[in-house]
Amino acid sequence: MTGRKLTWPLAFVLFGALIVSLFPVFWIVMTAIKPPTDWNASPAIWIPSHPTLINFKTLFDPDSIRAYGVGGVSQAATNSVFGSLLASVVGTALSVAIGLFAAIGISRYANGGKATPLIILSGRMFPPAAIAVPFVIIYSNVGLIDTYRGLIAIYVAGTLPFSTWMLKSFVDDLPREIEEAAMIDGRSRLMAHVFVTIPLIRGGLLATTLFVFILNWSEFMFALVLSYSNVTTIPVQLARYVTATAGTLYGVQAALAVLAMIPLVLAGLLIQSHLARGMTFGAVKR
Amino acid sequence: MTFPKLEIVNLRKLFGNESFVALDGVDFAVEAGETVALLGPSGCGKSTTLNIIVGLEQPTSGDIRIDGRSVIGIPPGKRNVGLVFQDYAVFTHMTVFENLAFGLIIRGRAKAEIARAVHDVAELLGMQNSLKLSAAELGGSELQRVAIGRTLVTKPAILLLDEPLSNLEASARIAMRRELRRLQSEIGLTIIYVTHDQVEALCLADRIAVMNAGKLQQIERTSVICKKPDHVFVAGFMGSPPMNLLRGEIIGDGTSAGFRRDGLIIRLPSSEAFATNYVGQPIILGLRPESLTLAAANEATICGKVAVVEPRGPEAVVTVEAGTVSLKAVVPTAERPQEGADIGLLADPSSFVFFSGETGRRLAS
Amino acid sequence: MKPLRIDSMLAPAALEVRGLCKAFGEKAALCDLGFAIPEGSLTVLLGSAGAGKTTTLRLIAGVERPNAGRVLMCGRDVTELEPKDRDIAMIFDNLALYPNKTGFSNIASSLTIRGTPKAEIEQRVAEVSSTLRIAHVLNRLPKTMSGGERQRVALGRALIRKPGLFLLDEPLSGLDAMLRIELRAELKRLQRDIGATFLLATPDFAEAMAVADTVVMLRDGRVVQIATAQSLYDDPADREVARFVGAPEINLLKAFYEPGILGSIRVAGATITGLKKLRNALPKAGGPFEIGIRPEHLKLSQPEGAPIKAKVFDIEPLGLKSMVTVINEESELRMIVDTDAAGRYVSGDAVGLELVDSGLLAFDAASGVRLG
Repeated sequence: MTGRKLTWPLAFVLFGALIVSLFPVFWIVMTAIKPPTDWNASPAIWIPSHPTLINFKTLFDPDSIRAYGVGGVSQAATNSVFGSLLASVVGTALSVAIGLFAAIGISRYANGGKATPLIILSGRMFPPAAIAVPFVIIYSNVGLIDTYRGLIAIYVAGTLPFSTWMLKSFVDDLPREIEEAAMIDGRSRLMAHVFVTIPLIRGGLLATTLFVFILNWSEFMFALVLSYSNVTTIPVQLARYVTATAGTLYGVQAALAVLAMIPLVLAGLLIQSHLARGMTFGAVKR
Repeated sequence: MTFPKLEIVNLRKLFGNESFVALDGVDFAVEAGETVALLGPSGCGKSTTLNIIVGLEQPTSGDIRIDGRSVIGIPPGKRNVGLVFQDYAVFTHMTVFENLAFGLIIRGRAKAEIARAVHDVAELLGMQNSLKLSAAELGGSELQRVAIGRTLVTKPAILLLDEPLSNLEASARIAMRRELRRLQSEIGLTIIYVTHDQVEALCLADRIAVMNAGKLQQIERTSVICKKPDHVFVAGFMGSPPMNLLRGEIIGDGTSAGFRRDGLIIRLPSSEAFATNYVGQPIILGLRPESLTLAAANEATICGKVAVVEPRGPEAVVTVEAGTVSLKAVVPTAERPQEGADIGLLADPSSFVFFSGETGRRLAS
Repeated sequence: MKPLRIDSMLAPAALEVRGLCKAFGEKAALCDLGFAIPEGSLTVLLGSAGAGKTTTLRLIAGVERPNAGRVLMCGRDVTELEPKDRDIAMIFDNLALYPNKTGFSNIASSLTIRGTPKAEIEQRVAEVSSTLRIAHVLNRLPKTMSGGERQRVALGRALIRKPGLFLLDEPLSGLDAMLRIELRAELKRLQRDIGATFLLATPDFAEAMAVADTVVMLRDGRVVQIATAQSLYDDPADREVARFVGAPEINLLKAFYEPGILGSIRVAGATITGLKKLRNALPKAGGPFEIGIRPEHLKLSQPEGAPIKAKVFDIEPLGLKSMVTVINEESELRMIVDTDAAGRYVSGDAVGLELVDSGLLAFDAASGVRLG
């Protein structure tokens, strides 16, 4: 940090940005501890006077909310949490692993020439809504509908452009001579990449993994259309908290959202130091 | 009374909470229109001195005066000093014209004035036809000219260049040296170069300031410094190859004196009478490689074996080893010996230089 | 084109390349490159940037494959082998030290990969680091080392395996002038002491001259000349080689040979007789040619009586010697003069020049090939 003084306009802007970015989090956390009467209150209630944990309880014991005269919640959220974890973790792991080697291939060996990288990128140029219905039809025909295999496959395919391109930029920044030195020292080509390239782009690898994980974790469209009863993820479950009688159960949704945030915050904290290096795009300079 | 253009007054700079002394009392003056080279190995403090002159760093103590007035408190943009960075720092997203005009645009000059100034400088640098090119398309020497031009356009009082030739290829370097010398004579600015290459310093500067470990060892005219180094460090740094330096002592009996190192004794002619004052003290004898010639064993000052012969084209550098002594001599190619051969070297006493073995300073003769 | 060999070889060459071709997309980097180097020698690949030096080294190392041609080491064809199976070590111009490993781990890396026992690794690293005087950086990371120390760690990493061939790609390029001169002498001494075969690439002809046993001169991906360093200077194959090797640059002037009883040469506005050695190189029929005059083969004298008359144009100090540029209506000439002597002249003075016959070179006016 340089010794620049914190002038009033600067402080104003920074503080403003801080409020804008943290406010939604604040609202969700507050809503999660509001009793049902406070959910739709007008004017809005910022901080509930009688905070309660009933929303969190309802996630796991759907009938508890009836105590407040709110009915219509049919299932516990536990399945969705497991479902999200399964789909996102496996999907991210596969996407990053495949993207890593694709990135090395494209960066070091120009595999696929000029066209392939762009073709990979084009996979993300479709608005998901446009291809959702065709996928439902295809998946129904091949029997992948309502399976985790099917969902994971979509997650991998959808995030592969990101993982490939982000990792490619990190590999590009690494001088190729370091891997070649390893090859000359005695490593085979593949092992040189495993033992040298990958450790040296650790920061970028972590940043990419987190990014892809966030994409998968919050994905809604495909999880919705490709699942019926066996498969469920957190975003889909959130959508279910709408009843005919009490309307949208904001509090319960907020509670599930708070739970969903926790892994992301934890992961971000854990890899924070590595993240800084990764975000500056380059683990090695000459 | 006219002041020197630039005065560096007893500059001291400490880094890291007083633990690292980057500059230790550097003091010299540069006259208007003069070119001075700050020469020294990495870490000697030459770049730090440059940064302090420009204003990118503040000294721990000492003063910088331009035209007699201290500029320490004045921010870099207002000192009227131009700096050409080592890696040019040219704006690659702009055209050559925009790069050159940059300084004046920031100072809010009129468009017509800017255009005229840019064209004048472009012509001086031979870039009149490249003004519309994008800076990203240029090669090394062209980028350097843009970097120089960008500073010249603001008409600085003093021009500073940080290792201007180090990023160029050998052939471009020689061409650029000529360019810089031509510019020097045409624009008549006061110029300071920072470099680690003594050949570059000898070629470009009127005077050379040799620095080492934060201290100014010697500042002297280019034509003189190779022959009259004030300090052992300067003697070992200037020249290709640099002066041979032999540690030993003076021996004498009152009438004649000699220099001894281990088994080697070199008789000193009576003209070096002063040497008798230093009998018994540690002395370093400096012998320039060019002053050593091949000789038959019975006439030679030193006899030894040829260890290495390095051809240089018109001449060769011969390394001769005699016991613990290793000397380099420059001989014409036609006379170069074979490696491993026995050889005798004759030293020219008029080129002997003596340094104190304790302080390293040259002893006056 | 048959490979240009060095004649003193009886045993199979430590390294031989034949007909190497490599193109990157449209651009041909190497065309039919061929040469051989004997064991225990220090050979320099000399050429300007883009000549193909780095590409050649990378093909020899095996990190890239040629489009055509073979690479042989001690008679064995290694063209299809991976780098780890060729008996080589390489030092890249950016050193390519593992930034996340200490000096010790960097040097020991090739032994660690091959599973050498720990005690042996420690002993060999100690040996190498004491030879190179880098024992004090073994526990440090590369980013805390100075340029010279990093260079030596890279050398140590290569030396520890005792390979058959060392490839060095501009190993001294990033260093201070003084350090470069010091380290190149050390490199040469090291090569001699361990008797290894070195192939070193550099664009700096002074470096090549100082260390090479033999120089392979490359230009535009082809071998132009293979000779000892001094021969490259005295007997260049063509005018480009003559220009590249030597500083200040050789003077190249248009000249004309009038054969006859005495035979005379017209150059720089003067008609000069004598110059027997030069005339022997020229075709008997006479005609135009290009003359190469090195700066040290011109003598400055009084204008009266001198064959070439000119005016002093520029005096460039180079320390104890200076480069004096003179011009007349025909041409411009550069010469080397002692600084003391040069100090007697100023720009505009009239001077005379004499040519020293023994060093003059003649080139074909059109192709630039050396005559004679």
